[in-house]
Amino acid sequence: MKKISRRCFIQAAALAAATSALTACGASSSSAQAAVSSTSDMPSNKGTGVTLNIYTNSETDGRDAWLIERAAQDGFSVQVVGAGAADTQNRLLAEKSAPIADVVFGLNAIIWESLKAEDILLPYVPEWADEIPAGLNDPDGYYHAIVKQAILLVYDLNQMSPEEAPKDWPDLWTKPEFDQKYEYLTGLGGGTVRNVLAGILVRYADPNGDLGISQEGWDAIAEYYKHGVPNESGVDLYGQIVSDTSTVVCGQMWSSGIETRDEQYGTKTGYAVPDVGVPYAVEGVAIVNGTKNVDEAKRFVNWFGSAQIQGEWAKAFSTLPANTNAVSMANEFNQEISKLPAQQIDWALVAKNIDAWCEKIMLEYMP
Amino acid sequence: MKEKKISFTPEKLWSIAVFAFFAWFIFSFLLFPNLNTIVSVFYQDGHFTTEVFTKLINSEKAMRSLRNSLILAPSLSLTVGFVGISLVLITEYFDIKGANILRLGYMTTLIYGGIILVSGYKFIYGKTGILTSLFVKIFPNFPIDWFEGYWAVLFVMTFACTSNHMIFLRNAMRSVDFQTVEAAQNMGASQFRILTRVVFPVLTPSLMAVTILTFITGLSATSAPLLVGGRDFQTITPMILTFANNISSRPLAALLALFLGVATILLLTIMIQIEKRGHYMSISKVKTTIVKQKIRNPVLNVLAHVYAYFLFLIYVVPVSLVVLFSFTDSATIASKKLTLSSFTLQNYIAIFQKASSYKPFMVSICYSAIAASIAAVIVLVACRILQKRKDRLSGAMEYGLLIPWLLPTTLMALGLITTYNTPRPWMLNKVLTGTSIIMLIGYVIIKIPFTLRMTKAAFFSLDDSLEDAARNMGAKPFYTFMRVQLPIILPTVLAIFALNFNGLLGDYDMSVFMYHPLNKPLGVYIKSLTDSETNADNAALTFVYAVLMMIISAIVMYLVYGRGNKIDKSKD
Amino acid sequence: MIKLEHIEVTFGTFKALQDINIDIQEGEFFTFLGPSGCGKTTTLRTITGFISPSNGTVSVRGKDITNTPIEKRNIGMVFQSYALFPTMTVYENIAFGLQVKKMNKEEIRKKVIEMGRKVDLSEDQLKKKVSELSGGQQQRVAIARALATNPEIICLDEPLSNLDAKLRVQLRNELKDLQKRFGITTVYVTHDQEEALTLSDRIAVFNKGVIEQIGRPDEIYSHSATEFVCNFIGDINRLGEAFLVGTGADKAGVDTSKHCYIRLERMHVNEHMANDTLKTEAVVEDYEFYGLYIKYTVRALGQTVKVVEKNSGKPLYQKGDTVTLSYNPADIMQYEG
Repeated sequence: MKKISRRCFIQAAALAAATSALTACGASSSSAQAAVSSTSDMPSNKGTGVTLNIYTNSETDGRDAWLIERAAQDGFSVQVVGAGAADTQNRLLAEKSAPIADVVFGLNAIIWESLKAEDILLPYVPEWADEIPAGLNDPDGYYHAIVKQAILLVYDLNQMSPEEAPKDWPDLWTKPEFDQKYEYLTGLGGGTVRNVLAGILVRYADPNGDLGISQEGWDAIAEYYKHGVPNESGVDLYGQIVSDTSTVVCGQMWSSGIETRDEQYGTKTGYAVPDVGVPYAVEGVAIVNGTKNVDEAKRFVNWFGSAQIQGEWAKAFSTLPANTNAVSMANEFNQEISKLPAQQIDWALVAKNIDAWCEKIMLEYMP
Repeated sequence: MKEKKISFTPEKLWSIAVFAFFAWFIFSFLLFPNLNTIVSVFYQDGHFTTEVFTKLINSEKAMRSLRNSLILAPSLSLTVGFVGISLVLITEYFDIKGANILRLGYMTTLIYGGIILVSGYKFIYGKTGILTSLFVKIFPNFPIDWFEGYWAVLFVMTFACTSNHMIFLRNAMRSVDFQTVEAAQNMGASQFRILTRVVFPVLTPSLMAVTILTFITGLSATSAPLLVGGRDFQTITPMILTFANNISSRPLAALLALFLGVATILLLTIMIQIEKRGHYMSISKVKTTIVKQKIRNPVLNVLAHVYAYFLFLIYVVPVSLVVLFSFTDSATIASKKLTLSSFTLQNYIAIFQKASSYKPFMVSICYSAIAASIAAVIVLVACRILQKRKDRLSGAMEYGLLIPWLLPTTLMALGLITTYNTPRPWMLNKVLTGTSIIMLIGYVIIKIPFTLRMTKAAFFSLDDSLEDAARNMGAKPFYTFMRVQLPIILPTVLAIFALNFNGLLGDYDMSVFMYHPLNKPLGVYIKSLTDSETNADNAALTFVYAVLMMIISAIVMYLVYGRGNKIDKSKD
Repeated sequence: MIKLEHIEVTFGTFKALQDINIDIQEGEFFTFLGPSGCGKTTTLRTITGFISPSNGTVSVRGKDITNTPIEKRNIGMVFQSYALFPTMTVYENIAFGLQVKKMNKEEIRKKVIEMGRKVDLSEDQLKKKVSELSGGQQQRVAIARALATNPEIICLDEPLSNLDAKLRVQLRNELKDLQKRFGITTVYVTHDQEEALTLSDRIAVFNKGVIEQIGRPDEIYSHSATEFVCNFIGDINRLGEAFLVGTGADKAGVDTSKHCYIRLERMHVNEHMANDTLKTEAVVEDYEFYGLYIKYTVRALGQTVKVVEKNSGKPLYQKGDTVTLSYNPADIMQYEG
């Protein structure tokens, strides 16, 4: 009996300690915020040490650690909250009336448009806005581009020559040689897959069609899913391409992930360059509407999107900076990517309909 | 019997306070947020619509997935029931050599599950799996995708879902009054007859309870269909998750969830009816514990041993491979060719060198322990009320607390964060979304139905006169509860605590929407590390984290359940 | 000492007890006897406070305790299942009530050991888990536990019903002995009339929620107030009208239209007692030999009658023997049909 009661006590004590630890964490950060937010300097690009919560889907491969450390060197204290693009969007939406995030970066134009429409962003034109090529920034000043990502149809040059390879997405379902040779994703929440679908569907834009797309377009989607191979949970595209047991030889990939995969899997990536161009997913940065640290957030945005930092970022993670002054810092591969023609996409149309498109695909076309 | 309700003001006030708490708790965390979600299905832009319904009915895929879920749940209940019962018979009833080792093997599902478990199975039976490769070598025409579809899902889940049997059914078996077995033997009954007529009826209540759990698991199956379901056998939950993540498609998710909810309600109702029909309780005062039965027929005896060890292999090989390969790199994992040089400690060193990689462990351990404790306390109080009063109010309370069984985790998480991102009067106008509290609330509520179902069973097997005796000797109700009743049901409460803790430790579905930026839990951390969009050595890392979680879970199981078991044993 | 006045208990629409009035004296061994479902346990639980009556009062020494909480009544109780706490040792079980009273440790220790000694539990046995004890030992723990807090009254709810016959008799004696030793007012519930007769100072016979009779065991046995009581207590012969008229009972003042009963030992076989004014020829059908006595089944005047004869050493009457059956009409208990 004694033993039991002592254990109960220990449990209770541990519980109490843990609870206070949890609340203590929350309390200390908010009081720190309150203390510093009163000092409002003119926005520049050096931090004051106020803790900023930064939401992003671009925290993988050690990006979060790099950012925290690099930002600290310039006086910023940042907390990186990473989640998938859709999860980040959902979080921001759910927290709309009580935002936790101060700054959000990454994502893609589709999501940026929807966040803007939901009144989740605070308009702010950063100092480096002019250094971005036309058409990438939000004309209303809600979000601004930092990284360009080409969404590509890739294959392994070791297995297939550029002549044999598909030249454009429709080749996949119109040419019999690619039947069951390409992978499609069964989940439609990711940024890349949505860009791919948008890139295909906008070719069939028709104001009179279902959800703004002509029947021809929907038939194309049906064919796309009919002839492809669903992805296997836990195995990525490159794993399928090199696998002996899989028929898959090509599929969708975002440009900055290519080099590391080639290294890991020993592949040599080739990609299709369609005549209509390739969709670019534009990663951006914006300030969250309702942040208590507006000034520090502005300083961070100024700092993060600057040619200097984006250049370093590009070097570290093999990205293609949107900032023209930083493009020279990108590696050879990305320099090449930067020369690819961009597909003309009506992002407003996509942002308005992409959820409904995905829903329709999920319900009607995905096997 | 109407027991004494003394009309003393403090006691009455207390009971009113407790009821008020439950009314508030159920309304604000279980009812309102979910109702909000459900209403969104039929009310869009302020008017009633059946559009969502039409959409789903017309979707071949949705209907097929739904059908698959509805096929999987009952068939899984059968297969898991069969395997679960045989595990219990092997370890507790029949005299099988090496039962102790077998038991350890069968209990591996208590410390790992989900994606990792299915990956372990794929390691053996998948396209490039060890067994598949072997078959292909022997029969070159062997189809490498043999382990795919309904049967594969059923196979994996059958062995993955026996955890509850290994705890609750085994406990029930151990409390069988052996004298009844002896009596039956004495009257000349065969071993088979004794099993079916004497032993099984005693196990029935526990068996029904675990069958409900299996059914619900089958309905909401996620990992197994995703990984081994192939094109032909996808189930409804992955679809719900996809739609739930798509803001405009949430009504679809809610409606699909409702379908599953209706199936669950149907099952619960049937089960409750069956339960009402007969209550089997041991009436013996002087119980004797089971003496292991030697199988008399020599052929059957050999077969039983073969079966027992065959099951053991099925259970143990996947988990062993996960542990083994956690010491290798992704390339080795992909090729599945082990050489001495492929072993490395690098994965583990990498994790332990970075503080950021074990902080999530601390966060998850804290949250899971606190949440599992709170769930246990709330449910204990609820059970006490259920035991004391059998009126409509307490009935409503019980059903209210079971709500989380009717909806998938993701939807509940969304319901909570969208409800409490604005000040609500009944929450003292505090915004909960984004605080470190809301994930705790989420963790607590998803564990309440299971905790309630299992604790209630323990509670109702208590001898009422124990409480009377303590009260009679002058003990107040609370003191009586703490000193007399709680110690008796403590082993069960602790076992449930351990299961809840282990379940929450790696939670992703709830956490991803609710975690506080400063406290990233394990499930979210691992997912971000091993996302297919990451190009790190992810396969190996997944295994390493899986192994670390297994270690924590095993420790908790030992501390809580292993010791609880001892209490239990000394009681016998 | 304990007074129940006009106690009424209803469960829903079912009246479990109706107008129960009992007055139990200080130091008395008082038994509630009756078949299952008669209300005896309900009455006991009204005294201990587990059930509150919908009407009437319970008082102890003139003090109304009808609304006193269970834990403040200071009435010890031994349960049918003993209700020993399985997670505690024997010592902890007995100490439970004392700990509740916040006695200091040393006092508790002394008291527990003293109680143990009184009920013949050694200090070694006190350290054991209750599940390690035999049925009889468990019962003694239950009694020691109930008495440890020095209650004014002890209630026992069928404490012997779970035991085998031999142990039951042995414990019955121990119980009586203990009660004498402690001199405590005891309320005892049982359905076993033999237990009631041997143990009690007075008995209340319950049936269907009402009391049929209260009285000393011999009163209840020999002068059962109702037909139910006379049937429930002991073995009895119902004498039919033919038998009564045949033996001339109608002329001896017996109303043969009533239900008439006579105890087995009040009839005699070939053993004419002084007041046995009525007799008849009978044929022995069967007998059971008990050592101390013999139970004959005889047939006379169209019905069978059972007779108990003391074993006086005479040779037994065999099947088919013709004997003379005699009895005293005053021993007939008559009830309205």
